[in-house]
Amino acid sequence: MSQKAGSAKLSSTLSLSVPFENEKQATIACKSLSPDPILKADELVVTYKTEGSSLVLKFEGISDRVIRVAISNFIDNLKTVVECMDEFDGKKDFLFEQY
Amino acid sequence: MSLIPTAVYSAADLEQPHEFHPGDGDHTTDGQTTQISEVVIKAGGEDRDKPSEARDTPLGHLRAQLTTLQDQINVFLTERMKSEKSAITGKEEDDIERRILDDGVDEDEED
Repeated sequence: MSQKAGSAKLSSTLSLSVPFENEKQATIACKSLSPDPILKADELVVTYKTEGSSLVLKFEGISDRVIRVAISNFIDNLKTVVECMDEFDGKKDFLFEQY
Repeated sequence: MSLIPTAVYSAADLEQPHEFHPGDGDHTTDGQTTQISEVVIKAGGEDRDKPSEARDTPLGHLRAQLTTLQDQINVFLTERMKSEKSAITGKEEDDIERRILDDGVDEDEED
C-alpha cells in the first residue's frame, strides 16, 4: 500500500520496522493507519506493508521537515493502535449498553 | 517476547544511513519531544493529553520503546533542520558581505 507524491525530488527517506506479537496485529495496524490521507501529497510518499508479524513503513519526503512531521504524527497514531490492542486484544467480547 | 522497533534514515548528503534503536535503557510513554511546551509547564500548565503509563506486557513495552524511538528521530531530524538553516543563513550573510564589498570596490573604481 502506498500513497503517491508528485514529481518533486524526494531526497530524504526514513524506514520504520515495528514488530508485533503476531501477523494479525501487524495487519490490523497496517489497515488502521494506511487510510490516513497525506496532506501534501506532492511532498511525501508513504509506503505501508507487512512482513510476517512486522509492520514496515517507508517515508520519502522532499525535506527533513516533511519527514519529521509525518513520522512523529504516524508514531503518535501507531501508539494509540498498540495501546488499543494491549487493552482489548484477546479479551472476551463485551457488549456496552446504555441504561 | 521482546518487540523492538527500529528505523533507518538516509539522505543524499549522508555517507551512511543513520540507524535508530531504542537501546536497553528505561523506556516510558512520556516522550521528551511530544510533551506540551516547556513555557506552558513552567507557567503551571497541565498536559491533559498525557499518555497513560505502559503496562508490563510486550505491547506495553513496545509502546514505550516507540516513544524512545520517536524522541531519537525527532531530535536527529531537528538537528539536521537547524544545520541546514544555519548553512543557508551563513551563505546569505556571505552573499550580502560580498555584495557590499564588491559594491565598495565598484564605487572606488568609478571615482
